[in-house]
Amino acid sequence: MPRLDRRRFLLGLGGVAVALPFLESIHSPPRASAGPDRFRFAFFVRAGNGVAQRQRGWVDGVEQDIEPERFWPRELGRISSDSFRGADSDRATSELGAFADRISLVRGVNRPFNTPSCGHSDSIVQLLTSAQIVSGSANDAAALDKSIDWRIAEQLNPPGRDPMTLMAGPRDAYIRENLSWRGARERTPAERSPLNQYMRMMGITSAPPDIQERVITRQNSVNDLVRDELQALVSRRDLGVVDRRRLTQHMEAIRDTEISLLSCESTHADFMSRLGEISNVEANDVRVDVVERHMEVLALAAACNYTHAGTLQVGEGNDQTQYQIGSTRLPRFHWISHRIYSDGAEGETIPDAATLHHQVDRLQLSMFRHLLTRLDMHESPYGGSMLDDGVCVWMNDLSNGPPHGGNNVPWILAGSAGGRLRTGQYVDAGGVHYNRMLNTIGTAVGCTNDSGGALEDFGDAGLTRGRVEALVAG
Amino acid sequence: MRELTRHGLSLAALALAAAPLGCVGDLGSGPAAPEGFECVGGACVELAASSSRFPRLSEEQWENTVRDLLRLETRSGLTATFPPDAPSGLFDNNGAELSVSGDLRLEYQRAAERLAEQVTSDTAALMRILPSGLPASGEARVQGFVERFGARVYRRTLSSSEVATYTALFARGTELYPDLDPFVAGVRLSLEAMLQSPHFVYRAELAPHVEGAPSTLLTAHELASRLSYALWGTMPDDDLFEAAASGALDSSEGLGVEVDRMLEDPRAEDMLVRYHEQLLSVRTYGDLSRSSTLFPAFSPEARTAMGDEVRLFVRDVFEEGGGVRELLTARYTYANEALAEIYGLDGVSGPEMRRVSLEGSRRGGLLTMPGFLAANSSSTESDPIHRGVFVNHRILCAPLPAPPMLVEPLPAEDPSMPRTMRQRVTLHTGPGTCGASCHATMINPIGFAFEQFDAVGAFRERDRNGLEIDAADAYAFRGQVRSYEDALELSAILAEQRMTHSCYAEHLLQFVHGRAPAQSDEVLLRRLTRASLNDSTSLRGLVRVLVTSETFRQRSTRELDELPSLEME
Repeated sequence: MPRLDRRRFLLGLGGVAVALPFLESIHSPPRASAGPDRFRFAFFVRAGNGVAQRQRGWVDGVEQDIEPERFWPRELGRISSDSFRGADSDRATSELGAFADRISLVRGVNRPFNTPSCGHSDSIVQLLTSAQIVSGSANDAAALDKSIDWRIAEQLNPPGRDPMTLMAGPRDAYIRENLSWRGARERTPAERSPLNQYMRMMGITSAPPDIQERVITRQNSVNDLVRDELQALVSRRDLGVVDRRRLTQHMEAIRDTEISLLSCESTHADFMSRLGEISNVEANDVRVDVVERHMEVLALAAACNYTHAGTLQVGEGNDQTQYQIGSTRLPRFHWISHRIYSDGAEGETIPDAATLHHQVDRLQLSMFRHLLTRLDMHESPYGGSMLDDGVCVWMNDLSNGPPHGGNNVPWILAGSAGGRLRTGQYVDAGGVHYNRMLNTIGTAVGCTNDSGGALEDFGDAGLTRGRVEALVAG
Repeated sequence: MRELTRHGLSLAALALAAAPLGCVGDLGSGPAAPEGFECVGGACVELAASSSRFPRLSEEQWENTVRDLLRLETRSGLTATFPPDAPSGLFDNNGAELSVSGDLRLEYQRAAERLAEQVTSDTAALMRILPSGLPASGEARVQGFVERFGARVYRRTLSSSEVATYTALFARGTELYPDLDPFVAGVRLSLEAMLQSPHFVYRAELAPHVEGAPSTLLTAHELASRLSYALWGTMPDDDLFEAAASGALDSSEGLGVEVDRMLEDPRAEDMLVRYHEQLLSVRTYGDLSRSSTLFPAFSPEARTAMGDEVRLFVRDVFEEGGGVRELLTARYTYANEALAEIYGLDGVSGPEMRRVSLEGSRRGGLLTMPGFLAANSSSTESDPIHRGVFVNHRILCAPLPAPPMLVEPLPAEDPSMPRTMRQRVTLHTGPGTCGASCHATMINPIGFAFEQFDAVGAFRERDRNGLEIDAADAYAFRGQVRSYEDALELSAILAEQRMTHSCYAEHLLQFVHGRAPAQSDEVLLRRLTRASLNDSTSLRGLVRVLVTSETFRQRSTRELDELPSLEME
């Protein structure tokens, strides 16, 4: 099936088509994508602070459940909407019941490297990199290799088009964005504003054609000059490796522009207006709204074939959001995850904190459902819906509440990436490290290794290679 | 050269202090050059630390630079849509950590186009950026603009080929902006390009290496840029450009004259305020929340005032020639009505902040301000552990090991047996517990000193249960145990400790030099510490030491390298 250059994207019930006036790179021909031409994508949504899953511990010399299971279904194997409406309706994952046959719930996935400093800081940097880290608290922790979103973008996106990196949370926080890494110790800044990201994606809008041509000529003239200057700097023989890499990345980020299709219809303004309704995107009280608007931009990006990879970090590293459940504004989520009114070890106990944690888990998964719903609203030109074209991943950088452990970290995959992933199941991956999940996802969307085969060597070279076979469609 | 962690540097400092050293000053004599020095034929010079030759302008620096370059009255605010600078370390101006992503490149493009349009659409704005004495017309006018305005953009003289390139681009303005006056069109197109140039976006240091030399002297214009970004967070002004062009910066005396002039400028004070905001995490004060039942006095106004208090206090210390001692012990502060309520001060009304005396109270300096105390508390209670950790890390640079992952929470209060927070924390982490090694010796003794301040920073002698607060303790400063009765006494002791002054010096170097400290900074840091501790050098004076040092005028020829990694779980 031929690859579509663009699709029409319907926004909401009253939505009309948004034409796609985004700018395409023509500076150099895009690298060939692996496999058939179907446009596949991987979007990663990250939550923090662990989930309210079963915890064992010792009380009076007896090992027992300290907290009950509230996250996973009761039984491994096939999952269905019926089971989530029935016996497993008390589990947080039931929030995704409507998509039961389109998702895989994966337990038995472990963080690869220990966390000698802050567990939050050291864990989030491993989530999409599965790489060794420079350990540190706050924002001092760093990954020593790139994350999978960059790996996917570099192989599948047009040159110079970065993965989309989004965050719903404040700029000034103890642990800010740490999910996406362009390379060793090169964290990717995250866009907080859905409107900014949308505007960047759309580029030139509805100017008359002659003006557009002039703009393009002008921009490309300037690009030529800037590119030549960067090239001259990169060519210096006395330049160090680190500086050379930074300047090269800058040079590669310069894309010449052309207009693929330019005719913005009224919904462009409507969508912009909708995104612009939130005045302070960093505020606590709009956190869920910002997450959902970000998801709508991601869905648009998939519909426009704009990017094969995107990430969305929900909250800071130790998500401090005070979520609203019904009419109740909860204590900070990080405190709930500690079960006390504190970021540390001392503080008054939060009554029934494990239940509150479960409620936040449900809210987090209902937000993820918003992304799936958005993608599922629209038919894929390849059959099924856009949700079937890619894979959306929900994961947490910690496994549970107070211990903030690194084993059995929850991963949920939604979508089959065009039939390459098995869905409708709850599986135990058997204690694999993150790299195996990332290899599975990377391969599913079209990444290959250097030989053109399946991607099986992503992440640290010391980890066991390969994919998670239970997730790979036979 | 490997960057040092804070702890690593402190340990290195200890080791260095204990070792017999040679070469100059009070370093004694010995056969080998100490770390951070290069000795040839008996003469030793300080070595520059490895640093990027292309530190990218931070958002703050970009805004300031655009304002000053285009002579705007205010900052453009265009960075509001930039993808935020990725966080790295304690300070936001480590240029080596800042890169240009695809998204940021697009934002640079959009901003350049908007600014170019804004300036060229307004005759007065255009006139402000045109160099004086420009020929009225013709090629000389174009060339004059490119050479002289371009020199402000590039922060150096343009090469002849760069002038030719921009002159050619200028000429295309007529074609690409056919509706504009040809000169205006050329200016607009040139501005669009210049504002996206790597020579604008980065603070490029292009002075070539001298074969085999460990460091290279910066050119006068590179030094001028280093100075202006270190002291003002922006590009050089006309006087500094002139000093660079005239060779005035080539001598220590000339450099000193410029530095003194720049330190008198309000922008230097702004820079010191930004440093303390980041050092003390003041920006997090705006996110504080407290139990409204327990702390009805804690209002949004009080929260805002907590940050303003720190800023105004630091300005005062800077202006009045104070140093680290004053920061930690001054018996005055700033408050408005909302903050005065927490302080328990009478006679302060309205929203305006004013200077108030703390004489007669048990407060003095930054560490007894409500902002620090509240930011290191839970919503209901004081938090001696976080207060202790913060002081160990940010004030003392103490080598505190990382906490274990599986931290048992503090047991809930037992209503039948009320205990003070100190008693509860001691039971949980004190002597005889598994947390004894760090908590009992380093964290708790500091944290307990602040126990007379509750979760919003209000003074108390008894806790909510009516139990008397005990804030007395003792801490071993590099092996020397000092006792204190409370936070005020602890602050006074901290103000006399070498650890405190060396920690401040290390952080200040990190911020002023815009890079992580390295082993080769050791000598400079020791000099700075001595100045602060022994000579009570002012904050202004400490900054002066940093920017007039030999290392500030040089660039290392060594490559930045990578950091080690960890074990698999």
